[in-house]
Amino acid sequence: MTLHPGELKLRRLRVGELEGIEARELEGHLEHCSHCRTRIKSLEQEQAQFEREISFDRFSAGVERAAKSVKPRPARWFIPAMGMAAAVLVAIVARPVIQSQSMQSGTRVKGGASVTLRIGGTASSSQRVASPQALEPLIAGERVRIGYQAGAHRYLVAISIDERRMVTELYGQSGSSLEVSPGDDTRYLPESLEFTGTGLERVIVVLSDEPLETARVKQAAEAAFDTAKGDLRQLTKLDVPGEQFHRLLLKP
Amino acid sequence: MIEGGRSFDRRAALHELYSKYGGSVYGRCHYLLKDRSRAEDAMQDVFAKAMSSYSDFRAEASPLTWLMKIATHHCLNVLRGERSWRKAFEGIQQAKAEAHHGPHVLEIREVVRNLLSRFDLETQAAAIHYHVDEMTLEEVAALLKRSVPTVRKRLQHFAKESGQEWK
Repeated sequence: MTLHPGELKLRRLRVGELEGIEARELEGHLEHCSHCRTRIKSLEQEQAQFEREISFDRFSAGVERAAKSVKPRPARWFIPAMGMAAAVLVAIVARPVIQSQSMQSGTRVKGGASVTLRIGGTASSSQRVASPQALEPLIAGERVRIGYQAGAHRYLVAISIDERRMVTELYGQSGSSLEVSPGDDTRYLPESLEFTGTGLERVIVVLSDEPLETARVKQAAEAAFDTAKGDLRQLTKLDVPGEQFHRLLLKP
Repeated sequence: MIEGGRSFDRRAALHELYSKYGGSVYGRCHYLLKDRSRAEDAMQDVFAKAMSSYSDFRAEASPLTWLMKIATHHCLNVLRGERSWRKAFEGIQQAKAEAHHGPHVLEIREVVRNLLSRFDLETQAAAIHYHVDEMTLEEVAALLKRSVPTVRKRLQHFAKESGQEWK
């Protein structure tokens, strides 16, 4: 192995992240090592090249645009003192009660896939399942947790779109679908979500055989929104492969 | 959606990210995605994540290491979701041949990049942090929250499959 410091260590030194003995040792090394001085210089050139290529204003606007699609910070799922007992109750009650509205696309029909939106989170309201057929009003402070039966599917992505055409990625993994285990048992996605703002919000879960890029699903949602002329009640299935499950929520 | 307050100068925070970390993160995204436009999109996503929990980000022992980890993971997932992924790696054998026998020796980082599609996500991340970031086994293990033997095993697997001698 080389005696030269690793690249990441040099990067950290350059941005001032190293302190104390570690920084002094590395700076001492640089005094005597032209090779590493050249490496540091190339890192500085990399930053300079970046700044020439992308201005701060462009960077800032792009990050702000991307930040709008960062999923809302999940709130903890509200299961009061009888947490475990309630969780067991969910598992027993949910399956026979829930008949999900499924919008299938493609030629293959998968059996056993479904999605459940459980609503709860305030002391004054009991937990319930969002209706697949009707508008589901939310009370202030209520949170939503998404459950699914993947059936034979292996990937899941969940988004929501509001009346302002803003699409939010609820569940995905770094720009793509979340990998899930096929099966007929109901599983719940981690944490719960509190939808901010007022008005309608349509939650869309797509179960698929191949991973989908979140950006593609978002674009499909925006296209469907435009086709529906901004009426979330009229929004039809998205033009993406897989099986879709829609729920329409009314925020307080 | 995004944290903010009177004491939080969002523009100043963005400028700090831009001037300190922009080149490193953009470089990582471009290295993996091989496309400036897509690299810029990916970089924006990474910094948006940092901004969405800025106080936590700043509290990281090494914000740069965190950003490089997130950028690597994000880009590997982007690549994983692409149908063109396999096609993009049709030149693997050629790359290997050039790296070991050909007149134009490729840098190790390019060999690593060209071989990634053969491995699972965690092995990909371990190989990049080890070979490209030149982190130690221990550092990679800590970053990926895995044991040193686990990371060593993954890197040995990567080396064996890619025809490298384990060092």
